[in-house]
Amino acid sequence: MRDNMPIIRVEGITKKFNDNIVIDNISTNIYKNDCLCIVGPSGGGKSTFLRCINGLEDVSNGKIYIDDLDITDKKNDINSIRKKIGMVFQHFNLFPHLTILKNLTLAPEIFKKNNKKEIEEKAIALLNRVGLFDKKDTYPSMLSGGQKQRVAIVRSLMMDPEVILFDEPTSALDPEMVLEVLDVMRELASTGMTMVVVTHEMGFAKEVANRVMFLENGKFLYEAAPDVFFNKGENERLKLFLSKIL
Amino acid sequence: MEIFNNIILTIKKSLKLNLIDENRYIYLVEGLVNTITITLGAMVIGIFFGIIIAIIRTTYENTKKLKILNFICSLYITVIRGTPVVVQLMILFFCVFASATNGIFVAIIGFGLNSTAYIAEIFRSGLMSIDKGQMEAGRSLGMNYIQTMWHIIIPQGFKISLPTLCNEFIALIKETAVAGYVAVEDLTKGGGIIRSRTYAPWTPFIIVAIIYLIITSIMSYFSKKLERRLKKNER
Ligand SMILES: Nc1ncnc2c1ncn2[C@@H]1O[C@H](COP(=O)(O)OP(=O)(O)OP(=O)(O)O)[C@@H](O)[C@H]1O
Ligand SMILES: [Mg+2]
Repeated sequence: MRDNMPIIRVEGITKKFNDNIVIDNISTNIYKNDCLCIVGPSGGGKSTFLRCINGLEDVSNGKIYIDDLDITDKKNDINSIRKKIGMVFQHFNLFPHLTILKNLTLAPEIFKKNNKKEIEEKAIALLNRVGLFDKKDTYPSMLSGGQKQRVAIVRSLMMDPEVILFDEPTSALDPEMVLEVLDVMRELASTGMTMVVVTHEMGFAKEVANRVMFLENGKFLYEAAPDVFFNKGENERLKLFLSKIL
Repeated sequence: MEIFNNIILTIKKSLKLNLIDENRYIYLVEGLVNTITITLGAMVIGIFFGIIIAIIRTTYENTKKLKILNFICSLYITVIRGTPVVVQLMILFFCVFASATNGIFVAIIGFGLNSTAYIAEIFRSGLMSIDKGQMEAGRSLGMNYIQTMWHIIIPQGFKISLPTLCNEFIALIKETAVAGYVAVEDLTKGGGIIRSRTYAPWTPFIIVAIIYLIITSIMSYFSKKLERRLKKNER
């Protein structure tokens, strides 16, 4: 069906917290240029699933391959794998003690991706792209939520990731700021960035995603292209979920 | 008026007797220098080892690694905080460094090791108070644990700890007043020596007390100023 290799292969992962099964035997592939949206009720394991993909949580069972490297194998260097996977958090998690510019340049400078000047130029170009150039010397505390999240997205872009994971990037925002963040994400998707987005923004999923995945009680219950997913998705649990939120 | 003049005269006489005669003020000056030397030396030791212990303890709490080191550190903290500093000093001076002739050196080590325990706990609670999302953000950019600690967690934890740390230093300089127990002629001991020469009951110790008060007031002035400056930047 697809001619390219998956960037991420998730093979039968299970995650337990003590005896509580939070991710229950999930498998899926994520391909280049995918925009995969994950939806489902609260506590269903969406965040945990994302966190397993970049190794913030260890899986209890199963395998996850990023570019054919098994990240569940402790012998593989998780840090160098993570450089290829960006992550955007619900609560931004910017570094409050650093200026916006420094927030962006810190990691690339540590890894000496380029020389200092090139890294800064790149940061400034990206800030321009999201309309925040004038904030480069301020601290995160001086930004609105929407601005913080745009900076957080830029911060992950600085590492030239192959894929970016978003965990409810707009859930902590005031309604009037949701759009400015979704706009940036939409633009990213249109440039072909591979994205996995946990979201409650069904409008975004409908419009931008090429695949939508339904997760409930740790189980991967249904997946389809958005037009199918939101119209004639033939899963009872999904229908119930959609009837509640739409 | 008469009474007032008499009081002034008595004070003048007493000051002359206790400070000027036979250059007795030298005891206070040298004592002050020793007190400050001990405090600064102990601060350096305390910060250095305090940070290391705090990082070990935080790492253990976050990752369950370094179990044995963590046990040693927490045992150390329990022992140091559960015994009087004077006793620790005397054990160092009369047992561990029994042949030592330089009491100041022993005092620096003693107070340093003592405040290490307190500073470690101050840093630890500072580090633990940093939102877990900071570590996750650092790690998800590909930084390893040490890089994230160094560039992200420690600077923030240090900043949060600073006001408490300043209080610790104010407490420390007052605590060094017991250095006389191990034959160190610190500021307090200087007052004692003068008293033993002049038999004046009040003046030497009042002067000593005033000097301590001035130093601690200066320290707390700067600590408040620092605190305000840190608040202004962020958050
Ligand atoms: N560190 C943890 N320790 C124990 N249980 C956890 C931990 N993290 C998550 N859980 C549990 O795992 C389940 C799934 O949590 P998760 O955060 O992945 O859900 P979610 O789908 O992201 O929910 P939400 O939409 O509310 O963000 C929940 O029942 C939660 O209580
Ligand atoms: Mg979640």
